[in-house]
Amino acid sequence: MPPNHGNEYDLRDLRVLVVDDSEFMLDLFCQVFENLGCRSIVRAEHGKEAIDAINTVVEEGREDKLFDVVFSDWAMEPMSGLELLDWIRMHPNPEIRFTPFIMVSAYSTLDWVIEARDHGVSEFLTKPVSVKSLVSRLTSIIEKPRAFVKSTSYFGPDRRRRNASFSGPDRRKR
Amino acid sequence: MASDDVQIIKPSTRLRDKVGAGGNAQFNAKAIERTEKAVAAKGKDYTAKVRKDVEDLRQMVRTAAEGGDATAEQMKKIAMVAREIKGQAATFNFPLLTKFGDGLFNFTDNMTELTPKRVAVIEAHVDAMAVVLAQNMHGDGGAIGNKLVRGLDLAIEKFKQG
Repeated sequence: MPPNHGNEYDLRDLRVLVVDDSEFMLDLFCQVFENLGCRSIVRAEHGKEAIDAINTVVEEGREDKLFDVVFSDWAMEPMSGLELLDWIRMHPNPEIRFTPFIMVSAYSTLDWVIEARDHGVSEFLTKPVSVKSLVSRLTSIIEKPRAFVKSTSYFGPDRRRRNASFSGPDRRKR
Repeated sequence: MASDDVQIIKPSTRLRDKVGAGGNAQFNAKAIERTEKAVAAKGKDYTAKVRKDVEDLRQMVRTAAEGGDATAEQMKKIAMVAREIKGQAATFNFPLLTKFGDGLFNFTDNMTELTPKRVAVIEAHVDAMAVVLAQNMHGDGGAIGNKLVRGLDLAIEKFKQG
């Protein structure tokens, strides 16, 4: 039974994984989520650390504590946000594979957006980031989650942003 | 590929259920306001950080201009710092720094060799950033900001032609 929070979101139980190789931006993004009401924020400095954070939760048998949202920068060493996204979308565990993923990037041209989309990103946020733009992407993944598409060449949110109704079985086990 | 090979998986409402959104819900306006204030408060720290970034850029250009094996590595660093400035500055109301960072990143990305003209273009960007910071030029910088943008454009054009 969903909790009743009136007409405002209550983010206190939302588990967010924030990934950025700039310590300054990592601090900033964590502060943003904290001020928006999140109480469970885990930070990672690159894709590999993010994977370690996810694996730690799994190894400790706390799958109910897996992340609800991954918010990641793109350009990082030694593992980029795009590689992290690939790892998540190809993961055998559906609790991980379907995780909403917001990619943040200073690369703002259309070809970068399309590349992220083709790897299964949920939302793309161009730097510089404003609180309003971040809130807008969060609202999208909360209110308008897209169906996932699985084909031989792609797994991820439907790349066509449409609101078609779907009456088939829900194969997602979460 | 046959359409039979495509599986559509209904979107989950898990996130919506978890944050208690039952339709027409939204973010708490006070929380957004508080968050914007927190971001603004980080602005002072950012100004100190970006001043250091611009000083570092100047030193990197000097090192890269000396040539030798270090050039390609320094150029990569210059592009990375420029990309960071592009991505961060406007968040703290320095849109001109974002603009100049963008220009510098586009110019230096994947550049491995330097010529005197290229050095001049890079230095023109760094000088423009230094002026923005020296004048604490927030927003578009008004008339001075416009002059700075035009001056940089002219310098780039001149070095390209020269």
